[in-house]
Parts: sequence; structure tokens; C-alpha cells
Amino acid sequence: MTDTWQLLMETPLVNFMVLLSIISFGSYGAAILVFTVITRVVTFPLTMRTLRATRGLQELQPDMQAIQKRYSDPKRRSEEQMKLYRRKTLSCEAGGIAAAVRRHPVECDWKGQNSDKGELFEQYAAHLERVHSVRVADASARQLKRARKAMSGGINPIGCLGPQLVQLPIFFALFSVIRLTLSQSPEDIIELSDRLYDYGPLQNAIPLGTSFLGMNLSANGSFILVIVIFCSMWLTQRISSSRTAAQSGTQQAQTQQMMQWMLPLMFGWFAMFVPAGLGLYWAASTLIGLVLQWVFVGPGDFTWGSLIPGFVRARIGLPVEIETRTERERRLERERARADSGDPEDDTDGSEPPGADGAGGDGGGSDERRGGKRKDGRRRRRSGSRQARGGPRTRRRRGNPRG
Amino acid sequence: MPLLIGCTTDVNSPDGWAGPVRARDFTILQEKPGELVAVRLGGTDNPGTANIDERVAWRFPADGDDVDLDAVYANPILDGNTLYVAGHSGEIVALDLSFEPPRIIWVRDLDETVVATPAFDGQTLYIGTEAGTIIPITVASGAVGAPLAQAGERIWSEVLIEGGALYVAALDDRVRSITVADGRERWTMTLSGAVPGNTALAGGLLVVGSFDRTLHAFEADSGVEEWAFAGDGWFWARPVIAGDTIYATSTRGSVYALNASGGDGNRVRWHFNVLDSEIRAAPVLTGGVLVVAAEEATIWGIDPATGDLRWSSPLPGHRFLADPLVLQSSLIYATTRGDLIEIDPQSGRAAILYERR
Repeated sequence: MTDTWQLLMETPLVNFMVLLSIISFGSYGAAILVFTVITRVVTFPLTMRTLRATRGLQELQPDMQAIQKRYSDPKRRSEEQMKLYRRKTLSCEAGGIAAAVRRHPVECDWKGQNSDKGELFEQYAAHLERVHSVRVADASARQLKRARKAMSGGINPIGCLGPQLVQLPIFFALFSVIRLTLSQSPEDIIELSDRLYDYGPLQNAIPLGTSFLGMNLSANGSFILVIVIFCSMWLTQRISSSRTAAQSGTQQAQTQQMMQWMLPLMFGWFAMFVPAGLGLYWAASTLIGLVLQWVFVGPGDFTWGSLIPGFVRARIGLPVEIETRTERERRLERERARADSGDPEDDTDGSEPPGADGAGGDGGGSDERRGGKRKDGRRRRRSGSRQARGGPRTRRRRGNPRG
Repeated sequence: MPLLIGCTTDVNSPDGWAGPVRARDFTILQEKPGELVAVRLGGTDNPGTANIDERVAWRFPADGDDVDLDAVYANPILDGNTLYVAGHSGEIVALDLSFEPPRIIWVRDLDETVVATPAFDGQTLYIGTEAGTIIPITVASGAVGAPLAQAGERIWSEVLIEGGALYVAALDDRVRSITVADGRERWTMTLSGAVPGNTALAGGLLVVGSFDRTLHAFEADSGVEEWAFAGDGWFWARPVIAGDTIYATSTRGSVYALNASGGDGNRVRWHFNVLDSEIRAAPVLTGGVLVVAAEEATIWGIDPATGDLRWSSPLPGHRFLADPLVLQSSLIYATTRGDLIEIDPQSGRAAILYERR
């Protein structure tokens, strides 16, 4: 078993890494970065499934919270949550379909409470053909078939683990390879001699250079990498988790918040005791993952303003309670609706989220604050400047002839 | 999960492969990384079964010794009753073996890791370091001199000394000759691969094995490359120069007998392969037999004239990376596990002299 593993996974990877090092002008650090990118590209389809599922879960959070508020009995609450999962057909596969459905303004009632899961799929397929003149392409038939299967099967508890499990062998081999190729002990280099293919340039390249950007890749505990790993993992966790849930004070929220700190701390701690070469791989991989998550899932409820600690916010005059992205979007929707209906006085309905009470927002919605464009092409409102001018924006808009 | 795996894999875990040394009535070997043991041999037909505790004369460092060798790759150097040990940690120790346990004469910390076996001219140790420096230590006083020269990036190869010149090969693909008196560089040759193993010098010929899978022969005085022979793997073990024949081994398990002179077309006398096992321990020509220890558990006796196999001695569970100790009628190998195995070069009969508990 060990021999097979070495023959099929480790040895090819060892040679590939050495080859990358040669191509990277002898820089093993650059070879690790190139390999990280290649790994991310190869596993991108799997990563996307996970990201879509993450997004789907994020979007379930408001409903989940509503259930948590409505039902105090844990058993009943759990049942309702399961029902919700089934209704929304949120498995990893279905999450992907659901995300696609959301991208197309849906005529089909895919969110319909009584929709059957199979029916949902049919609706989606029909919708694509009817509205967008897009046949369910042959190329994606397999994916759709699997999606349908996932839908009809309800929640697949290990569905989300699939991509991770597929990547595990790569990780296993990679750690072993980096350990072997970075090692500076003569014994390990002798072992390496047995792994290299009988190709001159590969053999001549040993020992590999271990210096990269001022780091010794074979030395343990690069402090810079520890910080990079911690920050990128924290941010990834922060974006992955729903802030809405985190504020709810439930056990789930507490666990979520704990994981948000524990995982980065744990990984950062580990990074101190492994060679910097491994740390470089983790750091690069995590950063790429963070970018992918940001691009394909979005920042969720995360706002840069939320990085400012509460006591600092209080000191500089910002509200201690942070308005989440979801809360802000809901508030803006309400405000738009009020503006459109010409009912400017109805601006406090008792359910205004924090930050919408005239305190000036959270200061963290950078796109809104910069007046960035919305998806519908209209200019975003300057909630910060609204506060500076005093009074709710709806009142100002009433006096604005263009409103 | 991958992190956990990463954390459990130790990248830098030097074990050392120092060869054994015979001093007085005991043999000294590295029993564990950085720990030497002196074992009394003889007195029984089957010493491997004797009481081990009675056979151990001493261990070093002992409790209370402020020495940390980390691991020992360099073969210890014996000069009378004094043993010089260069630890991978960079600590160099002089031990007085006339006492049991031995007394520390001096300890010097070079602050650089050491893999290479030092050169010794009777008065001074010349220690090649991983930093690429050669540091002289006067053995009488233990005084550490200024580094002779930057002799490369990393030196794993034994530093050789002859005729007032040092010969140094390093992992930066270079072979150098340096004048001992002033540290001036006499010549430098650049190869296409690193030089990890010990070199051989005899009859004005410097033979260097490299990671470029080539054995290079240089004229020691001028550095001119006389010839090069491309083999099937890395040349790591020290070659044997015996008259006009050079015996060299590769990490692909090949043993070559090469003509030291003559054209390239007539270079190989014979070639023998020990079944694809790495060879790092130096081959030894003794009693009319070329003895080769493959890393994986077998010692081979080869006819040096024809390349025919005389005998093979399988020793399951043992790995051989250390150079053997050559005695009058036998060879003693220290295994990576810290055992001592005696080989009769004529018959290939193996006897376990000492088994580490």
C-alpha cells in the first residue's frame, strides 16, 4: 500500500516539484507558489461546489433565524430547520442549481413552499429553455443529473465533504513531498535519490535552494507566514460565517464565532512548527481561497468596518452595533419602497436594524459610502453623507425634484 | 488533517552516520543521534548474546556533560588517546580516552552545523561547515582560528589535506584547492552537480563523485579534469583508488571498476549492480575482496579483478550508511540503528557484535 502510494502519488509529485523548481529558475519558493496555483486550478470545480453551498447556507440564515426565534423547543426547532433544508433543497449540488436560478430572474416558483424537489429541477430546466433559450446543455447534463439526484434525495450530509475528500490525497502527498524535497538532512536527500526519475536535469537540481524572499523555506516558524495564514484564515472564516447568525446568541452562533477564531489560531500555531515551505503553501492556498470566496460568493455580511473593535468605534463616534450587509440591504429596500410609495413618514417601523437609527450607519459599507453603483445601475446612496447633512435620507429625497 | 500530518512530519531530523572507531580495547560508535557509546568487543564466540550492560564501557555525553552534538555525520578522528568528534550542532569535542568515562579536554561551538569529516594534520583540525567555511582548530589548545576561506556554500564532503593544500568539494557544485598557509585559493572547478560525498586523493589524482551522476578525476596540483565518467546515479560514497583502478559506487546500486588512465572508450573494467539499492557507505578493498554495503540490508563481496560476486550477506532490518572500520582481518559496520556488525571479507560471515537496546 505504501509502495503504491509512493509510486502513484508521491514520486510523481516529487519530480514535478523539482521540475517546477528548475522552470522557476531554481527558486523552490516560486515552485511552491506555482504548484499552489495549479492545485487550485485543478480543484477549482470542486471548490466552486463548496462555495456555492456556502452561499446557499448563507442565504438560508434569515429563515434559520426566524425558526430559532419562533421555536424555543430544541427538538421542534431542529425539525423545522430540517424541513427548511428540504424545502430549499440545499445540498451542495442543489446549492449550485439554486445559485444559478438566482442569477436568472425566476419565473418558476423555485422558492415555492410546496414545490417538490424534482419539480424544482424541471422548473429550472424549463425556465432556462423558455426564458433564456438555453437548452440544458449536454455538457452539463451529468451535473444536472447529479443535481436532480441530490434534490430528490434531500440533504446529503456528506455532500459538502466530497470536494474536501477528493483533495485530501493531494494534500497528503504534497505534505510528504514538501517535507522530502525541502529537507536539508543528508538522510532525506539519500531517500530523495531513490524518488527522482532517471532524467539528468532533475538529478542535477538537488539539493534545492531553500531561500525565498528572505525566508529559509526549510526552517520552522516563519513569523510573517504565520501572520498571513492567521489573517487570511480569519477573514475566510469571517466571510464564510453569517454575521447575522453570529449575533443571534444561539449555541450555533457561539460555535461559529469560536471557530472563527479557533481555526486561524490553530493553523497559525501549526505553521510555527512546520517548515516555512509548507507555511508558504498554506498561506498561498488560503489567500487564493479567500479571493475565490470573495469573487464567487461575495463578502456575505462582512464589512471592513466590522474589523474596527467596538471600543474604538465608540471612541471615534461610530455605533458600537454594526449593521450587517443583509440588514443594510433590507433597510435600503424598505427605504426605497417608502420612497416609491411616497410615504416618507413611515421610516421607523420598530424593526430598524442597528445603524439605521440616525447614527450614521456602520461606516463599514465601503461601496455604499463611496457611492458605488448598484447592480441595477443606479448610484448607491451615501448613507454616511446623509448623516453629515442631518436627517433621514428619505426626507432629503422628498425635497429633491429628481427623487 | 493535512496540517496535523504536516506537524507530525519532522523535516529536519538529522540522525548522523558517523563510522565506528577502534580505540584501546573498545569500539566507539554513534548509538543514537548525538550519543556515542564505547563497546568492549571479544571474549565470547557469540558476543551479540552477551550482557550488553557489561559490554558498554561508557556513553557520551554522560549526564552532566554540557555537550549537545545533535547528530554525528563526521567520522570521529582518533589521535593517540584523544578522540575528536564534530557534531552536527557545530560543537567540536576533544575527549581524553585514557579515562573511563572519557574526560572532555575542550569543547568548541562553531555556531555552524557540521556534516563533513574534518581534515587533520596532527596539529590542526580543518572543519568544513554547512556555511561553506573551513575553520581551523589547534588541537593542543582548542584555539579556533579565523576561517581559511569561503570554500563553498555547504560542505558535506570530507576535507582532504595533502602537501600543504586542502581539497574541498561542496554542494555549490564546486571543487576547490586551498593553500593551508594563507588560505589562498589554488584552483576551482565547477561541475554540473553538487558534491555531497567524500572524495578520494591518491597519486596526484583527486576523484570526486557528484549529483550530476558523474565521477570526475582531477589532477590535484592543477585542477585540470583528466576525465569524467557518467554513471547511472549519484556518486556519494568515497571511491577507492587502488593503483590504476578506481572503484566507485552509485546511489542506483551500481559498482564500477574504472581505469584511472586510458581513453574514455576503455574506461569501464566491469560493472556490477546490487539490485537497485543506494550505496552511501564507502566500499573497501581488503583481503583481495571489494566489500560493498548497500543501504538496504545486504553486504556484498565482489572480486575486484573480474567483478564477479564472491558472496552476499543479507542482514534483514539493518541499514548501512556509515563508512566501515577496517581491521586487520575484518570489517566492522555501524548500522543506522546503532548496532555493530562484523564481516569477514573472505567468507562474508557476519556477526552481530553489539545490538542497541
